[in-house]
Amino acid sequence: MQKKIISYSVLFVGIIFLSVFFGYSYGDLIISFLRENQETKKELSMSKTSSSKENFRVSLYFGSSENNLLKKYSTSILKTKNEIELIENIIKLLIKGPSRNGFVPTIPKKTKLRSVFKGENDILYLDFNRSLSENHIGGAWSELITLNSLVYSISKNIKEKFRRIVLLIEGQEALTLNGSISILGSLSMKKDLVSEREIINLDIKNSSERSIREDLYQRKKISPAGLPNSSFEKKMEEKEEINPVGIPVKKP
Amino acid sequence: MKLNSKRKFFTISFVVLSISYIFSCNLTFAINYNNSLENKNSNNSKSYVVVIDPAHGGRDSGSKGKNINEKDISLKVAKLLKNKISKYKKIKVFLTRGTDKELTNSQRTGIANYNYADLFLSIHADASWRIGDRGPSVFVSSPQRPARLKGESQIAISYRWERGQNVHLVKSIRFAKRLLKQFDRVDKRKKTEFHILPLKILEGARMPAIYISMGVISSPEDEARLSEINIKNLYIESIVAEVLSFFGIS
Repeated sequence: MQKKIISYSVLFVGIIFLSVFFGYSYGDLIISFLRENQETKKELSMSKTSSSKENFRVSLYFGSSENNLLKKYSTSILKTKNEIELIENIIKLLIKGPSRNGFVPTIPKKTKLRSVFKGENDILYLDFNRSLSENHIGGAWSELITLNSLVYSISKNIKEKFRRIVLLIEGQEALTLNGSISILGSLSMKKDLVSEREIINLDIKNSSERSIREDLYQRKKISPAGLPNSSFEKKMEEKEEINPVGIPVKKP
Repeated sequence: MKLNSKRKFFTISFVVLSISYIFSCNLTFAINYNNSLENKNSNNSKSYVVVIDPAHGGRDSGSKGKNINEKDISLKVAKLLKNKISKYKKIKVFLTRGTDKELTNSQRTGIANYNYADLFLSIHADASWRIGDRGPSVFVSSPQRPARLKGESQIAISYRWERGQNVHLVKSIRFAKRLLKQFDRVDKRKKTEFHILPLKILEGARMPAIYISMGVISSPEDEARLSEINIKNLYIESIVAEVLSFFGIS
């Protein structure tokens, strides 16, 4: 009996000693092997997401601070799997508002998009919470600007053509947005509501010539037509670093 | 002898025809003159009905300025207009609401239709997304073409509520454009805006109907002007003058 106890205890101590010994000497290798596996898995997943995280150029339509019309606001957002997600992202950007001067928001800030879905007969439904009507500033022209901001921003960016766009508030069709403009049925696009001048707002820079030109424009170094604005460009032109329309010249 | 008888016949017939022609001309002239006299007499005795709609009301306060709301301004302006226009005995003025009461768009237009109004004015004070925007504006409803329902006949469509204003759009636009000229004379710094929009408040009105925004309540300048508005205000006088000229009253 005593021999058995001694043998079992020796065996137990031996196992512990061996595990400590091997863990101390080969533990790093094992851990590094496991980590490599994890990293490869991560890399695989990252590669998938990075391909879907490509940027997509969209044109939003905010109010203009110079007149009572809409103005085109170019920006870039992450590429999405389908057009419904793209519409959701566009509307969220509209609610967030513009980040540059010269533009005015067109949707009340506390507004939330409840859902976007496509119904029968190619009808697109946009369901907002009641803040869109309750917190709206009011007025016939302001309501028109809000509605056309939505319609223009969606129709100019979405390839799929919807027959109608219907606005819902808390899941129900509403007669008006805030008492003036009729929205029952479908939203219509009012022509001649967009002012012509476009201001570019790039969130992501890359090394292409176009982005350099646009960057120069944003720093007010060149006019929208690309002509030099100041002596800085004239010097650049003299040094033959940019051509008359502001595009950098490739040196041999 | 034969020649003489023929000559006589022709001369007599010529005289008879000319006399009858002159007589018929005089008769038609007399009839037209009498008709015009009758019209004038009927115009003199006819009274006109104007319905003025102060926008919003009750829980619906409309656009908001720092110190005032659209519903209060519109009620104040409507009452001033009523006081001024009612002095002319030929015009009866009704308000869609005389107190802080909530009404739907169709109720407002329904009041105008029920009273067989000759003119419908909807008074507002809009707001703007743009800072610095100010001044009054005038709007008119766009023609409505509601979708045809299953089994609905062409005649039935023509009686739809939404199409009520379609027939009166020409007169509405004429009134609105003349009012614009009056407003532009008051403030030459800024041209009054005029647009044709799908306005729910005006679409069912079966008479000339105009949406008048007295100013941009979100602008401090307009808010101050609207809060101090009184019966001598030039915009109110312009509206009254245009209403009178619309009905041919001097």
